[in-house]
Amino acid sequence: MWREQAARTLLFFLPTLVFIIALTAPGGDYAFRAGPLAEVAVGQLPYYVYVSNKTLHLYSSPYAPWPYPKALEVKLFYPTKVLVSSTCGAVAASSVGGDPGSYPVDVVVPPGFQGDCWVNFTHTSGWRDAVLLRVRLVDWYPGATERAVVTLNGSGWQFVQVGQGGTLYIWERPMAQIPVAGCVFVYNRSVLLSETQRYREVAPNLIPPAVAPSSSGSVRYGAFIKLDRVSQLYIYKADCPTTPRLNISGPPPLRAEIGVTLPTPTGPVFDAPVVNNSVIYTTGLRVINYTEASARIYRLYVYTYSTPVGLWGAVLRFNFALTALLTVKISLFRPGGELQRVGDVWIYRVDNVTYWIYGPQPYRLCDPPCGVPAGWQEPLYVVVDPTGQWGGWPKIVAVRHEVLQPWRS
Amino acid sequence: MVGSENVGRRVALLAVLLGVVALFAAVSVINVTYWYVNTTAPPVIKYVGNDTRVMNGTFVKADWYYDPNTGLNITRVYVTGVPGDVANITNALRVCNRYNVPVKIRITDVSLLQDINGANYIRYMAVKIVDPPGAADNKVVIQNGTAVDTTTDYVTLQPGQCAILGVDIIIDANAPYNKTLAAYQINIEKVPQQ
Repeated sequence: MWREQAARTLLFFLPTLVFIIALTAPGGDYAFRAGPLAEVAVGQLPYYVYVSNKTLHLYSSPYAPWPYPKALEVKLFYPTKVLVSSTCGAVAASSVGGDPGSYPVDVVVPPGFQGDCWVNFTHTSGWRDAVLLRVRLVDWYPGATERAVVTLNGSGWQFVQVGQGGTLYIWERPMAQIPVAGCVFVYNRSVLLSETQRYREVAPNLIPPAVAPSSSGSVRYGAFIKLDRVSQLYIYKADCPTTPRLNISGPPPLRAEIGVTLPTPTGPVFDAPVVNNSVIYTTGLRVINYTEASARIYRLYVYTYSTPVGLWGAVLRFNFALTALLTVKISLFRPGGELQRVGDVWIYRVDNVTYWIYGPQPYRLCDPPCGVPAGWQEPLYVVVDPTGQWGGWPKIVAVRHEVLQPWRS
Repeated sequence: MVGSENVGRRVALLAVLLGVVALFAAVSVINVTYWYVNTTAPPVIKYVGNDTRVMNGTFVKADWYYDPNTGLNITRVYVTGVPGDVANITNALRVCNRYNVPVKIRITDVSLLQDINGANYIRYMAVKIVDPPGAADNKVVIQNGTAVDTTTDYVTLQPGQCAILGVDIIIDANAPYNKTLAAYQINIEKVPQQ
């Protein structure tokens, strides 16, 4: 009798106990399985990270946190969570897990960090694992794999732009071709405020292209640097840093004599442009006023732009019709004063304002009369300096291409 | 029967695929050409007229200059009037056909280019085609500095033939002496025939 009761109790109690354990255990029926709780493995890493066992050789940057998305991977074999922590604040998540499976872990190395950093994975059951991050601080913008190093020689504020095709513009004037087109400018160990502005061709298939600011078209990234003799500008192919919009007023009106004198039966007339349409574009750094104007024998495409550094600029492009007319005055741009030739630029000085012009001769009196220009003229790039500090367009001394390599291999 | 249906479906599918391929297909044929840019002599050539020899060109003389910015050759004619008198210059400029086909010419597009010391002193100036005769309108006219007749009719020059252009001019008696009053652009249009 006693034996029967004991047998009946065991037959009933033990399966019930197993069933209750299976229901209530954190791992459910996984509680009865053998093997490790989880595994920590190396995830997706960029080529410049050297990996040895569970040691990752990473970079950090002085400019911003250096993200390594999905750098680590936790494979969970139980429906549970593991705690994640690091000794340098490189992991944002405090725990990963849930159902069994693989869970990526992002690593973000804090700016300026250098040395060893442990990423620890622990579980209340006593399971633990760890990955060692060996971090080297490097003067490089985080996340970028390549950069252009442009050595410039000049003085004063310079407005630098990089087009998608790698053309380097300074005050809108194309100056050089660089190997990397990007939105991040680092100068004098600082990440610069930058702007993004699109440009379109106002007439197709021209050489050099006739471009104007637009809401569509190819992108140029721009930034201001203050040069003091020979300096290096680093341009990284990376997403634009967040830039606060500066409070900039619009460019001043382009007060200048523009046009050509044309003969007519009743006497010479000055063929000045009449504005057809005008559009304002506001970037993070500038306000641009684009205007199309027409005259009897030419069309003028012009944009002026204001800046936060006290200077402003303009770009003018003329398209003359083919005529057999003679003229005594060709004034592509004349704000006043005497025109001077200094090196490869033209200069007007009006009161305390200096107008720097690169392009065809902006003003010419013809005695004897000369022919009116025909076709598209080369662009005129104008920089207006009321500060007296600007030293002209800088010289491009050198352009170098650098690619980030693993610091240990 | 089932087999023939499958074949039909396959043919239809193939046709659809071919159609899709056709949508994305494009054929272009490029014919290569090359263009020589040559030069030739102008249809007519201008010479100074016989009157340029009168008093060593005091009343009319001509030369030409090159405009490097546009590449144009520009003929420059100086005509001198006598304030208060009528001056007739019958042989100021000769325009000769150097082609072996007839060339029509006319004077056109008269316009005031530059008022230098008083274009309004030019009370009357006519540039006329003296020879060959026959044009209903053979002169362009400037009155009080303003062009009032800007184009002549055409005259035809046979191969080797020259047209002679003359100038009639009245300068106001109050005009200053030894001054250039104004500059006019006067074009000579040339149309080769045949």
